[in-house]
Amino acid sequence: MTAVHLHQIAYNAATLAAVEPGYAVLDNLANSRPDWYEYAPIRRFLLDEPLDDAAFYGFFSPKFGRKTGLAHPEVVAAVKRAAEAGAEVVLFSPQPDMGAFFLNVYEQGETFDPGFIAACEGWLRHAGIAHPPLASLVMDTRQVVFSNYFVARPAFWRRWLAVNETLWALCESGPEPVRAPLVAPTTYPGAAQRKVFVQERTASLLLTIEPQWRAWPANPFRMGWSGSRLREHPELAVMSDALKRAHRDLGYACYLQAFGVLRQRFVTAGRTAA
Amino acid sequence: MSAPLRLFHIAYSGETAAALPPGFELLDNLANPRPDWYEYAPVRRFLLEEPLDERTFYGFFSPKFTAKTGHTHADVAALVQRHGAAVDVLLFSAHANQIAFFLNVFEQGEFFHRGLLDAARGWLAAAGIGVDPAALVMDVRQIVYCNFFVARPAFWRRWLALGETLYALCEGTASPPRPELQRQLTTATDYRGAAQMKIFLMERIASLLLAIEPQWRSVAADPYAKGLWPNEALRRDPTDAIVSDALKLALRQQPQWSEYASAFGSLRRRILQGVAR
Repeated sequence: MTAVHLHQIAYNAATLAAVEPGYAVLDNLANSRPDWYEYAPIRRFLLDEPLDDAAFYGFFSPKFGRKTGLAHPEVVAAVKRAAEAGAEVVLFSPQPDMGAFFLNVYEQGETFDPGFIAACEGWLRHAGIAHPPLASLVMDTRQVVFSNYFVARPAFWRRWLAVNETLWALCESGPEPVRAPLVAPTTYPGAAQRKVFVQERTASLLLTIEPQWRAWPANPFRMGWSGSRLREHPELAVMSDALKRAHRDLGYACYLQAFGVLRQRFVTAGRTAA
Repeated sequence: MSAPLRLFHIAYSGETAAALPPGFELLDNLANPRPDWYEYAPVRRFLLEEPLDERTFYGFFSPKFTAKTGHTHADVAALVQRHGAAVDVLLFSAHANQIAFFLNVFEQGEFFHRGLLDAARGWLAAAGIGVDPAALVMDVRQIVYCNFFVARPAFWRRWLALGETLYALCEGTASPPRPELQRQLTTATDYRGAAQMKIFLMERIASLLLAIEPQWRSVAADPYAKGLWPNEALRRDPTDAIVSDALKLALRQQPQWSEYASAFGSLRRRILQGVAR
């Protein structure tokens, strides 16, 4: 019997009251480090609590149900199905258009926050984490994770924590030339620092560059789509994701060329509509 | 450690024997006693009579192999060296559009030869294979036309065993005899000289096995990089074909995600409308 421990983060009285049935509360009422968003309470949990290596753990923001359309029993059932199939990481990533139309989560971040990739690569270089150029990574629905909406066994969480701790240390007291781009404010409501969006992409990075992790995605196309105009072409999004899957699995250049053609069609359609 | 490779060029006339390409061995079918079985007859004879080395990859190609696929012996050998340690079967199909725009090789066959699906269902039922060939999803890793594949003996034996069920039905030696199915399988099509339906089923054995028996590990030479296209427009912009194939690959991985099937269906409807049979 696979144990699945799902937590919903509460950072004030309203979110505490709104914790959905089935979830354990991850108490962040003190919210001592709001600049780290959900990473602060998840980090504390992973550092302080004993973990059952056979179990799955997940830590979701209060918006999880609204963004994914999934209730606690559906998440548990999906994790159990994935576990039977041998998965260690189960993805519940909404906004499939954001995942599909970009080559990877870093390119997506760069589009909304110029300088994002350079900041990320500065961190990884400083941390000694070997990686291909981030702009060249290809991620499909089996790697893309937004909002840290994934459930995983402790082995993956420990690796995730270890990588994120290098980001934490750098942002807390690292050399300024590398640190400054990571703590720069973004245009996200509340001027969230860039590090929040860097941290959010660690799961995707690991699933892409460390092939030993076996991931299983819940169908993102049935979850909430983004609020951007990317959502206006759902079929192109599905096709784009399929092309990235094919490229990752077979390696033929033609799949990425076709991905580029579809993306250009999307851009052209946008110009025409405008 | 390099994987040994033996490629055979099937010769059924003096002219095709003289055209033996570099690196190939001759598979002598000059007597051609069973032209109604096309390449199955000489390949069958070879597999039944010749000792096979379990480590070696074997391939038996018609004289049109290079013209259709663009691949030479050296290309095949290079792919075998690259992937031979990890796979059982390597595919070298031409006609990427035929791979991409159909859900599987049986649907493709039905499109060009009406009655093929019914004949396939009858054959597979008689052979004890409980799958509906119309429902199979095949992508570039399973689809192979013209028997343009190389494989180790384990796969060839499985291929032959299934081929022999078709052979027996068509020859009337199956037990029990099935005369109506025999008639269906040996019905003449309008393909060159009225090739019988059995030829197009025989040609689909490898794809069928790769689709329904997951133990076989296959890799395909990129069919979009070389080989024939049906027209210049598709060759210039193969995007629709490549997308279509990618959707099938995704659908095989996530059969419960109807979005891939739906996108494949809408793209395919657009393409096939207006295509003459």
